[in-house]
Amino acid sequence: MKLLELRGIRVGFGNAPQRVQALRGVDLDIAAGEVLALVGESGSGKSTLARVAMRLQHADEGQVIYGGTDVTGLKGARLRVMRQRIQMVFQDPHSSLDARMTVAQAVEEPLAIHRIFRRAERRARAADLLRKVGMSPGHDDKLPGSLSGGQLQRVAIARSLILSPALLVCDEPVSALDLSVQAQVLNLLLDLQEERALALFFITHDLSVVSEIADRIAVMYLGRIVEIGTRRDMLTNPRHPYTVALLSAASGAWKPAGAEVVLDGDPPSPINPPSGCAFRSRCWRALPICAEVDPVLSGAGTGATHVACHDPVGAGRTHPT
Amino acid sequence: MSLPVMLRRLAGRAAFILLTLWFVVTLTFILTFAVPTDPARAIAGPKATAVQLEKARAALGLDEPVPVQYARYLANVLRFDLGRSHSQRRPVAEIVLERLPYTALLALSAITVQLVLGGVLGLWSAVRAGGLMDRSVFLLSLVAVSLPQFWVGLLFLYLFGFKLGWLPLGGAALPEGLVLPALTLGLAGAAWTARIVRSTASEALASNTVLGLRGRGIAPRRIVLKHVVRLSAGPVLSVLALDFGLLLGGAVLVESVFGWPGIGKTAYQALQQNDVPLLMGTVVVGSIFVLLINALLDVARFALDPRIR
Amino acid sequence: MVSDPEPPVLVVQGLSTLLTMDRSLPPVPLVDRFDLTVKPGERWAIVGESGSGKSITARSIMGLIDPPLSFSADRIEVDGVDLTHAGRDAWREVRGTRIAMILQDPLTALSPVFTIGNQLVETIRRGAVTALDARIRALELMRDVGLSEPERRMAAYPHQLSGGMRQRVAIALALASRPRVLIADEPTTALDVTVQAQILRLLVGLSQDLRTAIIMITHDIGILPGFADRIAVMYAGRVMEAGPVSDVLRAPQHPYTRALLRARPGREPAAPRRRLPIIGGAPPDLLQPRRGCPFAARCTLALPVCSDVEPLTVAVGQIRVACHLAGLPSEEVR
Repeated sequence: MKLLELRGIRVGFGNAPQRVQALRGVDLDIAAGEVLALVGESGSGKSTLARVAMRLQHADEGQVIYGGTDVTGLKGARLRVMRQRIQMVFQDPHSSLDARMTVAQAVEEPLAIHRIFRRAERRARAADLLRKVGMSPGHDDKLPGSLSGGQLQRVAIARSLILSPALLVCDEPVSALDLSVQAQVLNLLLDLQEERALALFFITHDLSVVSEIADRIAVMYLGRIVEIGTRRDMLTNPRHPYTVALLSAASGAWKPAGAEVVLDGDPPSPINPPSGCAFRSRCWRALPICAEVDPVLSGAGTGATHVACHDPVGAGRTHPT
Repeated sequence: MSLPVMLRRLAGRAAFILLTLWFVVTLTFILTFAVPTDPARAIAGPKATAVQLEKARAALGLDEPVPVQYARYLANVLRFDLGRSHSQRRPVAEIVLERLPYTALLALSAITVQLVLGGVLGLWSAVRAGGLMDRSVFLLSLVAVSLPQFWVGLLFLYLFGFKLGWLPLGGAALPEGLVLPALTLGLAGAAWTARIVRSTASEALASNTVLGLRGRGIAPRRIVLKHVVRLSAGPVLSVLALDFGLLLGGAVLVESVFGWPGIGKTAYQALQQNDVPLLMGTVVVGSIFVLLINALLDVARFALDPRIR
Repeated sequence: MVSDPEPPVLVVQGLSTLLTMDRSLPPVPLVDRFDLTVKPGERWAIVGESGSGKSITARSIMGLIDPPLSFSADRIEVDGVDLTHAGRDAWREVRGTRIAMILQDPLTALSPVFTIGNQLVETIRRGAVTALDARIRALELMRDVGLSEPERRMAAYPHQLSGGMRQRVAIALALASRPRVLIADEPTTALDVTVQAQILRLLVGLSQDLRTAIIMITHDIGILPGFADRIAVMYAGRVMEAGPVSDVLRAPQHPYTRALLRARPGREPAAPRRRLPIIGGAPPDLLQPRRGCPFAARCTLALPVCSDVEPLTVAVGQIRVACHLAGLPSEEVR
């Protein structure tokens, strides 16, 4: 069952001629209980897409459909009800938690805001959830300032789960953490996801983290999804040149075999993306058609992933270099 | 940054200046009604008959409805006709333009005192943070900020003019007559500047930029005098722009204490002699001056920091 | 040992960096008896998590330590110059000329208010160089680090460049006086993944072409294969294990290194979902007096002796390791 559907999302910031095209037509589905990882570099629009999914960011075009209902224009009380079902965890827990609120208060607060349960019940639930994420009772009355980054992220996760959401949007939740702490938080997310049949929309630049947690992987480049498929297909048989380059640059324990690909240059400015395929300016396989026609995301041809490329890798063609 | 963006910024700035000017002019117009003196009586003299008074009133246009008076006043200001001073029996514009250079010179000198004295002391404190100099500057700046300006002026006059006899007791003699007023007017600002520079320079010294420069073996003196100064300049100019109005307000006092023949002293005299048109003229011209200096400082900040271009 | 005709470009022995918070309290060692010997063209990586002391080690080797920190060493020699008891001026003489540094965030490391050209020329002109020669050298440097259109870039300000280009400029600045040793403190952490690969490739090329030795400080053990020849793993201010990268990654000798390698994410495509092996507990509080091995409290193999006696550094093959269990047959250790 599709839990969240994003249809033709377009978002721009600022005014011409400096207008940033953050999202240039994005379609994406997340099924209930699924872990969908969205991978992209800075400026790819991945965080903007997360905000659109949360209805924290207005989309210039397109629809946000939650549980089969169009929630694009939802306002007021109904929007608040929808927001209980989708919660978010951010990269930096220091800035997402109120410095003057104790750990227990921070976790309890969403219940109080939505006026769910009596006070004693709220406290009990917050305490339960804090134990669940591995925080000892001794920390309940501490302020965020006295906790480590890993502990703060646990608290932030507990806070996001107190309303029992169906979907958790995680924006780089482990990127700021040390390796040993990162493993702990990833394990916690895996546990919670399985126990609660939670859908995770996991946004990151780190493919090794993705390879641990994702059911499906979507790769974004300059406001577009360029390839999407199951974890296994994306890792073993990537077809978009950009996915190939990302995998080659990944620094995890597992790395695909094959020649190392190092892209030239930087991602172009989202103010003025290249004509045709936005990736062509860095693509070592670019053809004349790539400058003319913007490829659409399609599953036709060989391979199991959906890819937006005129000449996907592994399609059995020779290339002029 | 592209030319259109810069032009837009300048246009926005100009619109802001015009709007502020309109506001100031309107405010001074309203103030004329609040002043407890009758301008017609001030012209006609205390022994004037009712008929004479009425004539003076008509000559000034005071018998007309307020909106008409307001419109005429605006039109006159636009032509830089600020009316006639009855205490000096001359056009206000003429008097004010004659006095403006003195005030401009004083203000400029005071800013120089403020920037040089405050900048040097602030930088020194930052480089030798926690040292004797740092602590002395901190204490002295606290004292300098809290002393009343007229008192400082009188103290300077007594000390350097009367006791030591180094500098004149007043008047417009150049350059010796300028020294004490400029010091008095710039002292509080210098103290503020020292503290701002102390904090921005300390921040700059602890920055990655300076770490990088040290890592390349750039000489410490060069790091401070080129890089730290330039990195600290922006905030100082912003505060200077904000405080320039206050500085000009201080000029009224300082010019009166030292008998410096600028706009401030003129304003003070106009106030004493109930010369409302002259007072209004000094306020309007003073405001224009403040706005122009502000625009100038904005341009300087613009030139100093490429990030805001 | 095979005799090596080339003398090392960097020798550090017994380097300790202390934090003195209060004169009445004993100073806290943030770096504890650090040793390092680097040969020309060699690429080292100093790996550690936050608080391991790796960045402070780097700054100590540059002589860039300010109060309340202080450092001392039994021996520090950079490119043949003995700096063990050197004063400020001697250190400054060496920085930029024999040993240079690039920082993690190239945006803040470059001055935001001067052009790239201005900063390059300033650095080059430390030596007695004419303005024209400095400009020519600046353009040459920019080409060396792979910056296109160097003439145009000279007039640009740092904020007008991309992150990757800024880091290239920072590298050009560091190379201005042809140092023999380059310290790179997390040079790719602030960059996008695909740009990281470019910068690593550039650094490898420079070490090969110019024989510049590179010491990279990093938290990311994953970027080491293909970059570093040698690695030192730091924990709580101490080197736990050091040796050739291939040996350490293949057969790590210290339980901490093993745990760190296992905790790396990256599951093979066909492997089932799993939980990552974690390192329990937290790093020790450096402010508390230390005793025994700093990793003992988190070590699954710890013996009673580990929390009492600090292990000596011993050689196991090419690896030097500070562990009481070092050299035991690996079946027993694992």
